[in-house]
Amino acid sequence: MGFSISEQDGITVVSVEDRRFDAMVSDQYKTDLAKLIEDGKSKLCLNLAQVQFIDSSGLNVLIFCARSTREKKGALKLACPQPQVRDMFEMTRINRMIPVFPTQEEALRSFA
Amino acid sequence: MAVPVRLEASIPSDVKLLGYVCRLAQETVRLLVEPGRAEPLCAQVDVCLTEAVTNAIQHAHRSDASKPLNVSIHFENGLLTLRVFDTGPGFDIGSVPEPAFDELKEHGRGLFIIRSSMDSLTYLPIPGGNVLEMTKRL
Repeated sequence: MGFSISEQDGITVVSVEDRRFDAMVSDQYKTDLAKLIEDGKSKLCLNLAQVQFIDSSGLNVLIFCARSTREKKGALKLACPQPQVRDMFEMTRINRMIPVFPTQEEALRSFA
Repeated sequence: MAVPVRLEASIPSDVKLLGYVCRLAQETVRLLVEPGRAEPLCAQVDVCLTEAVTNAIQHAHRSDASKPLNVSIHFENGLLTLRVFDTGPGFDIGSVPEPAFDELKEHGRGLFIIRSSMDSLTYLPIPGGNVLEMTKRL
């Protein structure tokens, strides 16, 4: 599994394809996304439509990406969170620090 | 369900087995509560057990798969009790601060998620290690 990557108007869209975003996959995700950001893809939209479950390991990867993209004068936007993922964003208040959008289109528009 | 439920599992300390342990806990909850209430409770139990087992594997056992990790799932008199046993050095759970909510800092959210989702959380030394115990009234 993992994720698929596409480009839209200078924004890199990463679609996560695992149903569980937990410690089983988080180290690999962090490594892969760090490389992407290091390669200059600092405007990132993470599409979470397929993710049914996230834990603190997955949240840590999102925080890492948000910080890394900001350091490169870019941004991380999150799109399409499912109910458990949305609940975790609200519980841990990550949605106050990383913009979250119900659709990918809205997330992409927010970069304008 | 009037009859108490007692399940014990022993797995290698490997995060690849997270899903297996959590499915076991979720199926137990589905067995115990009416369908309309089951899914939100399953989601809470899933994330709390994932956090506890991940902590034990990565911090207490340093991801050493040769170390067995024991988990128990008990239900009696309406109370679900989840225990995760580790053989690490332990830590003072009372000294773990709340996460810095307004900072983009990694780490520190796992115990907060458990505290926010379950009715009680303790982490105590036992002979040969420690036990993290979480309870929730179903």
